[in-house]
Amino acid sequence: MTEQTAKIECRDLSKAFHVPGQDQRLLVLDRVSLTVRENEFLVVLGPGQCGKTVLLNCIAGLIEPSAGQVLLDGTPVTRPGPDRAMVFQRYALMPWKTVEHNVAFGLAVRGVPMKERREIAHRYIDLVGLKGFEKAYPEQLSGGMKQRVGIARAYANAPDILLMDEPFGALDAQTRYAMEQDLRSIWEKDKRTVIFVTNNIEEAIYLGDRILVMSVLPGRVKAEYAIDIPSPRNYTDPAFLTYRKQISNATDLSL
Amino acid sequence: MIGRLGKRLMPAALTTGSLLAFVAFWQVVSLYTNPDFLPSPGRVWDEAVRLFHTPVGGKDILAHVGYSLRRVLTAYLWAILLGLPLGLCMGWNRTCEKIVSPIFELLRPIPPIAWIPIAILWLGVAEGSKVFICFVGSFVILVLNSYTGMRYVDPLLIDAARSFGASRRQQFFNVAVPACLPSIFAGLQNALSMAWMCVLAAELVGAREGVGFIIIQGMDLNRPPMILVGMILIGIVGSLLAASLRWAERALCPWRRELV
Amino acid sequence: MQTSPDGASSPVSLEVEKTGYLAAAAREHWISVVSLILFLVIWELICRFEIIGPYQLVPPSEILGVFVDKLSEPNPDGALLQQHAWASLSLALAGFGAAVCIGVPLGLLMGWYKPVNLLVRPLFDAVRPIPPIAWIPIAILWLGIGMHAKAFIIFLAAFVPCVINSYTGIRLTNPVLIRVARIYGASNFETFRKIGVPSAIPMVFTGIKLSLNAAWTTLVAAELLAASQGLGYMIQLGRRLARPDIIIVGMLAIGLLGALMSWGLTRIEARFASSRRLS
Ligand SMILES: Nc1ncnc2c1ncn2[C@@H]1O[C@H](COP(=O)(O)OP(=O)(O)OP(=O)(O)O)[C@@H](O)[C@H]1O
Ligand SMILES: [Mg+2]
Repeated sequence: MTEQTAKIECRDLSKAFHVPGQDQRLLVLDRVSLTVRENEFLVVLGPGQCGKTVLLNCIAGLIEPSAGQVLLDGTPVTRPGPDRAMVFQRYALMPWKTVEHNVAFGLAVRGVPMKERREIAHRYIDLVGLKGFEKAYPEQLSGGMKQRVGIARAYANAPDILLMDEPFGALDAQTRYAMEQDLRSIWEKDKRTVIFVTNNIEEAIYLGDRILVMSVLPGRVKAEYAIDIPSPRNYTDPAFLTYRKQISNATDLSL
Repeated sequence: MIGRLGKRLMPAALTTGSLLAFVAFWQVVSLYTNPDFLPSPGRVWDEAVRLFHTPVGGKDILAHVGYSLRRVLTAYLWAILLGLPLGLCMGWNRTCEKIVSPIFELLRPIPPIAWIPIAILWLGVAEGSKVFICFVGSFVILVLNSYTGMRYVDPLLIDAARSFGASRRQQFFNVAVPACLPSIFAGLQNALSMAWMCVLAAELVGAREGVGFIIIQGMDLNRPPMILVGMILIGIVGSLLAASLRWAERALCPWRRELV
Repeated sequence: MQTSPDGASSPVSLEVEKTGYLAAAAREHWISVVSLILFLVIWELICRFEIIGPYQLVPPSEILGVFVDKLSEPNPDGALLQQHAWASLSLALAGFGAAVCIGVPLGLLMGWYKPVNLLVRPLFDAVRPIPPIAWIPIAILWLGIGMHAKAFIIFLAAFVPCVINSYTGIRLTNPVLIRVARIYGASNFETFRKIGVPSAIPMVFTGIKLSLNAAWTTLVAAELLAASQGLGYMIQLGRRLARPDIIIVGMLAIGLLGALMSWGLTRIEARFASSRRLS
């Protein structure tokens, strides 16, 4: 991979936290380096508590790394920007806003006029299959629907890069499969650069063009796999199962 | 089968029922006690009718309610105007918190009613001191509620806003403030009933008009029925004030309507 | 599982921050200290330059002196500060104690047993919207100016939060726990005692704290109106004599005692919670 085509590049990214009551700082990310090409679907696969969220937050510009840097198109990231959008593990929807206004949040922040905002919001609500729920409040939606709103909110802001932090982690298995299929087809319709974090091998293989495997705390990149299965993918495909076996043997991640 | 309408009417029916039961209980007790001590509901009703036709202390009984309400609402508005921004700023900004909280913590344990004597010394027995007392009472509650509400805003929501590039200002006004609306409303509710209690206390200590004056007058004239009418009036007005705020909350926080 | 090399090889500097506790506290709190000092200085200056006259406010530097004097000097209000404080405290604690002893069990029973609720609820609902202070005149007519009227009003004030919180607390008992107890053959009363009451305890404590607050506030109101001793009486007399120093000392004593009692209650609650966790 050459410098020119790298959309995102992390160089020796490290992050340590000061834990109250402890002298030693807790090292969470240890020299993580990775590159993502334009319009690539990169999956970061790692066990719980290994610093996946911290990594995404660094790329999003929500927290500052202790060492190393994140480059976006060759320029260092210092703060969040509309070129990146995040889908959160715990949805992070505004409970006082309707679905429509939640989806339009990024647009409102940028001062897009009301009418246009509505149009765009409705387009993406359709895309994630929530037509008819525009006026509902998040509390009235199921977990899967909430995360659909989260995805629509991210998409609606027209970012170059989507950062997805275990978006389906809290869903039941059925909903999860459905959401994975939908996400993959949305992405194929409307390609963006995606970094998708998960702790589920099947999800990783189903979605990713490439998988980075992280170690337990402190998080490091341990291995990398390119997934070369054409769409539409199938969980029981022999190629799929081969990858699954290969990765789980190598990583000692159960599931 | 209880229909939708039935469900809506149920609480009202229960309240009416329990009020009737209370009046019945009162009637029974008053039969067996000295009528000068505990007047029967009938006598209190007669007294109420009388009071609505004859002025007390030169003023109509509803005018007395008006006086008290004006004091409460003036103080309440000032408390909202000053207390909400202060509490929100304290919750949002660590420096602001560090500057204000020691002074606030020093004065907070003093009950608002204990301010009455010094308020009279400062502002005289007239309107000023009464409004001041109500202000102190509701101000403290509003500051505390908006402050704690702000401290408990889910940081994830702020992060979400930040990830969309929201400025500090937008994070505050578009995310943090709406997120603590429920706790602000709880504060508004408590502050109003506190103000209502404070005006009463201030009027008991010295006033020539207001609901507190009615019951003090009843005591001075040794007329228990008049006191009871005053107390009932105070209870009714207080309940109406609380109900109007609940209504305002339902109108302003529609996302909470389906909850609870 | 791949073993990771130890943190020493890491490029991130893991410097150990070894600053003293005091230095850290100073760095953390200096703004607060400055703000408090500034508050006192401004107060002092306002009095020194007589922006507010001596019959309305006295400077903080004099307050301390008056405070100490008041411990041994009964004039002008006829009693020492500690006598006033004791009069107020004993009254408030008596009313508060009675309210807790009656209110908490009543609330718990109302929450558990339907008939009790039906019996008591109307009384309670009808009386609740009336602030306890509004009872002062009728209490004076009924019981005369004295201990009894004040104790009655304080009791009323403290009673309401006790009942409401105990009632709500026990109503919120997890129904699954109740069902489990019933399946294991516990009687209704046993379930009440072993499941309902313990699970209501946190709410009950919240209610007790609220009611202590209410008792203390109401006590001040009652003493302002009808008393010959007590902190409320002391500040009221301070007003009549235009002695802001007496008033402010009284207010501070009221605030201090109130804060102390809340603190004590919080300590008791903590002790209670930890002993419950152990058992
Ligand atoms: N702000 C912080 N302060 C201190 N420690 C933190 C902070 N944020 C994260 N950590 C620590 O960093 C470690 C990794 O956290 P992180 O949330 O990135 O894990 P994760 O891989 O996303 O886990 P999960 O799969 O459960 O979401 C945890 O041990 C956590 O305690
Ligand atoms: Mg995470």
